[in-house]
Amino acid sequence: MGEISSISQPSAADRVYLEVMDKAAELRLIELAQAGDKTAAAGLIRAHQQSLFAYMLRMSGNPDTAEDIVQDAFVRVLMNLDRFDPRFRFSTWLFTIAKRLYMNAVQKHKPVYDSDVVGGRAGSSEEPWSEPATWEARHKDSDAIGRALQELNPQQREIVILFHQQEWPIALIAEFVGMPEGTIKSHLHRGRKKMRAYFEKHESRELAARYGAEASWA
Amino acid sequence: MSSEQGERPIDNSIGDPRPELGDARGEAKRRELDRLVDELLDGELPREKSRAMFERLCDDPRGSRELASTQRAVDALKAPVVGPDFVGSVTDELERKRGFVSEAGRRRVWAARVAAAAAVALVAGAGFMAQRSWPGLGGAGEEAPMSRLASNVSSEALAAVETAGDQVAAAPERLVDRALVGLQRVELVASAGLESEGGRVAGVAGPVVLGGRGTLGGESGVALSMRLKEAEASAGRVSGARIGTSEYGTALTLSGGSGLSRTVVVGRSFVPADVLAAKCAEPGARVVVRFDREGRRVVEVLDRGVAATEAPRAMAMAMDGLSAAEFGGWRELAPTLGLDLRFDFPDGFGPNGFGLDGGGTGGVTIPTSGGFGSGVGEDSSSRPAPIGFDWLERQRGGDRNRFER
Repeated sequence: MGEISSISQPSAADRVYLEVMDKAAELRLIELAQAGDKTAAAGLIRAHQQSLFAYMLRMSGNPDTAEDIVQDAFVRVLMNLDRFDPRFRFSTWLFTIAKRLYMNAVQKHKPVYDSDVVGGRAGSSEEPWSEPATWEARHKDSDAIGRALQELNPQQREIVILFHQQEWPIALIAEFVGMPEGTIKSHLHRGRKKMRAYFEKHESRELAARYGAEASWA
Repeated sequence: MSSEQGERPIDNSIGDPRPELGDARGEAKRRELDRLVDELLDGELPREKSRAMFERLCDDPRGSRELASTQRAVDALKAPVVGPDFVGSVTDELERKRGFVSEAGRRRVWAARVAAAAAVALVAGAGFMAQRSWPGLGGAGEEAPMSRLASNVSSEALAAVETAGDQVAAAPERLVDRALVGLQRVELVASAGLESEGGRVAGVAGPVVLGGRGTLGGESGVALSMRLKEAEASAGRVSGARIGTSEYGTALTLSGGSGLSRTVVVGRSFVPADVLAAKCAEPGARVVVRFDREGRRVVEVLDRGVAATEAPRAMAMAMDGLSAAEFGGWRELAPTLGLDLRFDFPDGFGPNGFGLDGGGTGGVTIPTSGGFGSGVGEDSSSRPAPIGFDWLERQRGGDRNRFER
């Protein structure tokens, strides 16, 4: 998997897709992709790849893991478009698939998604969400926010990411993770407090000065 | 955020007005500020509260610092993440696994589908025309095909009948779905309101509400068989639906694979009790009295063959208004009448409350003893008629012979 520095910038076409894609257009793309239209499939990928990668990167803390899962999620979703229920949002379905893949990867601890992760917890019977941070902590995050997110428990992390990064409404997050909205808010508040504490504790003046610079994962 | 902010001294010891432990008022203020900040970050802080929050922040340097730290974290999280372009890799893998279809290929598929649909429409149209030209074609017998009925009814009724026919004809394998089809679509037909007037079918205004005691009693002459579940559970897949006219109105007959059929009478003719008796007395007839999940009584007559039965309506009327105890009397009466009477109860509606000692799904089944029978008079004369059976009893008392086959 590539270095982050090799990751390409979104093209103008990507931005156009992201900006103009509405529900009707998306459904049309889905229909065409289902019928075997390559251009439509590419359009769906362009429309969602950035947000999905960002979500998965922040969840896993590792760009290689994120890249593998996003790739796999797109392939699975596009192979099974006939199962898509148009009453729901395509992005929610896509994120659900990606999340499951990620949970599987965390649970299995196989070196499928990261050749650096070996041994240790193989065969563990722990719940996938119980302590993935231990697994993830082996990956180095180069940025403060990445490290701060790893301080959160997985549910808090996911909720904070979905709310602040993906800008999903609370109600949608509640539906996505299967929790009441009040619980979502509690997780969100606690997660923010932990992130703040991390920032206050570990961020030096230098880091604070660096804040705002271009994100770098190298 | 600027470097100026980044150079802000982080010294928690300076200007910290945080309350000492035990300072209840300060702690309360602190909590209130935290709550307001959370509302702000959740995007739910009302405009009128924002001023109060910022005023408090001015008096709370540490709170301000915390908010700034949180905001930095949130802003960092929102910073754009640039990822790889997955288009090439994903489409390559899809190409390898499944392949894509070219524009020309998709057009060919579309053209083939259109052609197939046109062919089906042509065949159906030809069949329809042939049926209209030669009504006897296809061995329709007494029952007219649904299309002929549909041509004479209002558009609303037409739509309902066609929908019902399609649904029943395409009834899925699973029993629960078939039951659903039976319940919903038959109700739809009834709601559309079909009326038989001298053999001609016309739409009637106003829906017919199914279920419930009052409805059955109030809709004089509208006979409805409401539950298909048992019939179809036995019959296997529903094999067809036909609409025809019967002596008492228009009938939608749903037939199953093993010969069981259910006829829904949607005419407005009243069904006399002797007809009920005759129908119930037919060999193989079975009366099912059961309670649906709302506790409503549902009376059904299942018969074999395709003959229309109006018994459900009449039986329902007979049973309507009975108290729980009266059902016990009905049960005692049933063998005398030669009825195969069966009581089914849904979960939570046990037999005890109705004075019946059978119960559960499947209930009590009393085998048919063959006809409405000659023994009726003798047995019933020595048996006090249950309260509420006056309607049926009047029919019986008026002319006993009418119950004989």
